[in-house]
Amino acid sequence: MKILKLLLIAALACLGAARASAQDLQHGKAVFDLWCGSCHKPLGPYVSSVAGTSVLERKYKGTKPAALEERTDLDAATVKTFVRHGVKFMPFFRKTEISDIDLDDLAAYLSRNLKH
Amino acid sequence: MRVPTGVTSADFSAALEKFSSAIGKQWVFTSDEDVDLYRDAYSVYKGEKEEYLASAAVAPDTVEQVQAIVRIANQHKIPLFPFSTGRNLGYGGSAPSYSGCVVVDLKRMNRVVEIHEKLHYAVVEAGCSFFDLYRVLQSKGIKLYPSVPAPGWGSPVGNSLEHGTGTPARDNFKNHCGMEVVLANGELLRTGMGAMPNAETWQTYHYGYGPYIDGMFSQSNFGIVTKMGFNLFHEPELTRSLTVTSGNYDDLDQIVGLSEYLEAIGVIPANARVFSPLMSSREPEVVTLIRSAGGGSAGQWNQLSQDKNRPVYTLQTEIRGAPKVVDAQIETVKERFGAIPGVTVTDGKSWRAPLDLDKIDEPDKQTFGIPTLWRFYTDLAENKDPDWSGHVWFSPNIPQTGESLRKANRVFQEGCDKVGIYWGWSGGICFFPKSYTLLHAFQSGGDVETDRKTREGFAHVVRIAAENGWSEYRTAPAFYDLIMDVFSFNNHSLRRFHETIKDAVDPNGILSPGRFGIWPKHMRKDRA
Repeated sequence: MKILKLLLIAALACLGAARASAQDLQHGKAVFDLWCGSCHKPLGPYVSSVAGTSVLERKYKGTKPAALEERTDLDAATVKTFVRHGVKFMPFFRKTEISDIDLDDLAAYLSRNLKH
Repeated sequence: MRVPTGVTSADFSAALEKFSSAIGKQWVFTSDEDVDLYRDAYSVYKGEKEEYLASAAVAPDTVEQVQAIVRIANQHKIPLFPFSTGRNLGYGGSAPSYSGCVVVDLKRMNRVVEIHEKLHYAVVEAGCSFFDLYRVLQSKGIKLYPSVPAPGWGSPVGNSLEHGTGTPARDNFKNHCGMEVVLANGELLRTGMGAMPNAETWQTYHYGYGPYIDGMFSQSNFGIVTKMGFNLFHEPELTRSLTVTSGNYDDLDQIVGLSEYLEAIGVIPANARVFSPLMSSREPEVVTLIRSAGGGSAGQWNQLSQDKNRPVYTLQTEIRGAPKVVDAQIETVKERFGAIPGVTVTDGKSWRAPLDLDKIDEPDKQTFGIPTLWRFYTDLAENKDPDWSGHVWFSPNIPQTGESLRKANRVFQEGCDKVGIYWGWSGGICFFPKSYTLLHAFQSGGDVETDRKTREGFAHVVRIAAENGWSEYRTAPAFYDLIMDVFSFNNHSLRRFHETIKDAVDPNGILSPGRFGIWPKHMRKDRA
């Protein structure tokens, strides 16, 4: 039953990703930049450290990209769970901050490279 | 559906209906799923029956809607808990200070109402974050910057009302001028010159006429502040950073004394921080020495400093302004600190206007008033186990002297040791002139046992601080009463005065019951 449920979630997530238009993805990217980028932007010459990316870099040790936008294993449901429930030190976000529509597009954006 | 204590379901439902009519049904949140987003992610009671939980949330978009909410709440005696952005994690987040409150989420009121470029100030609504304000300034090509705290997702209004701090202003409440407040009866008040219709100096002359009452709306529950004016800062023509280092344990008094003196005469205008890279480390030999009787002698620390090639103390600051003046200030700092045998002064980074904002590293951005969330990196990656689920800050103010800094670290370490907590050595951050704020994070929001230990440890350090004449400058809701209790001069005359005001301006006690230890009459009978 649990596997069935997971498959269903994955199928819905794929459906969501498939339906995302270029406009949705562009909006998803804007939501990411507004709410997530401060902690999850890629490291670079003038981004020597940020909370999310630096900690994930330490955690994954090169097995996965530390920057969320470069991930190929994030599905929409996982993104939504993290945003609405938080994880570890990262808090959850209210609907007055990231609305359900914003979250749909954010999830579509971060799961756009999901490899099936 | 959760219903506030003392309110009937029928009354609560009627109030929710009226809230919906006033602000739109989609902005009244009542489902558990939605209301759970108003929990404190870093609560020290997470998942326990004492956790402060909202009954519902309302998110107004205008001042008129805030007034309508307050009037409805008065009719039905519904407790409200307003907040601006709800992002002061470690000090309560978006959760209420009393379970059952309807939280008033002001995040939608995020407008920059006015920017006065010539006189460098902005008027912002309560839900306008530092990021929001910065983005508006950038989008208009205006080279003015707000005074930002370490995490930039808070708001100038909320941060300053909590007596929060920022760079470069430090005391952000002191950096405001004029406010607009919805009173508990729904009436609108403007303070200072704002009380004069069409005033031209609301954001430039803060006293207005008569008693200066702005302070009454900070760390209190006497009204809902909906707008405030804030001074903005010019892009500095030159910014230079420097670090003073010493390998001598006994230099602390001289370093701190000189720092305070140079600040007093205007040579160091910025926030000069005193740290100990050696004593604040968690390496085994450091921990052993800190925990030894007396906390280690000067000779032992100096030897360890040499062995590890690491200074006992550093003092860091940034000096900004007109280039010739900055250069002269830097030279003066070097000359004065250089006169202490063994002390060195090292130049750090420097920046000249016009700033290339894309080429300022994340850790340096706050220096210029550019908001970031970089602080969470230091909180998480450098100092702590990344598995921490949250923290609460213990942040007492002590006098800005070397003697006080040494004494505070000693008494907190010895006191904490008795209850199984390691304090270590906390540096002094000069948020407020003549004071050092110590910042010590207690782990929270993880599991029941950790939270219990944190609450006990926190109460313990509050008592130690009070015995020595020190107190927190702000705190998390779970500790509001604990801290208010130590302000006990003349049988708690300050608290009784707060209560007198509370009863006068909010007779139904609908606004944030218990916030900063101020309770309405009907809820304080247990204490009488």
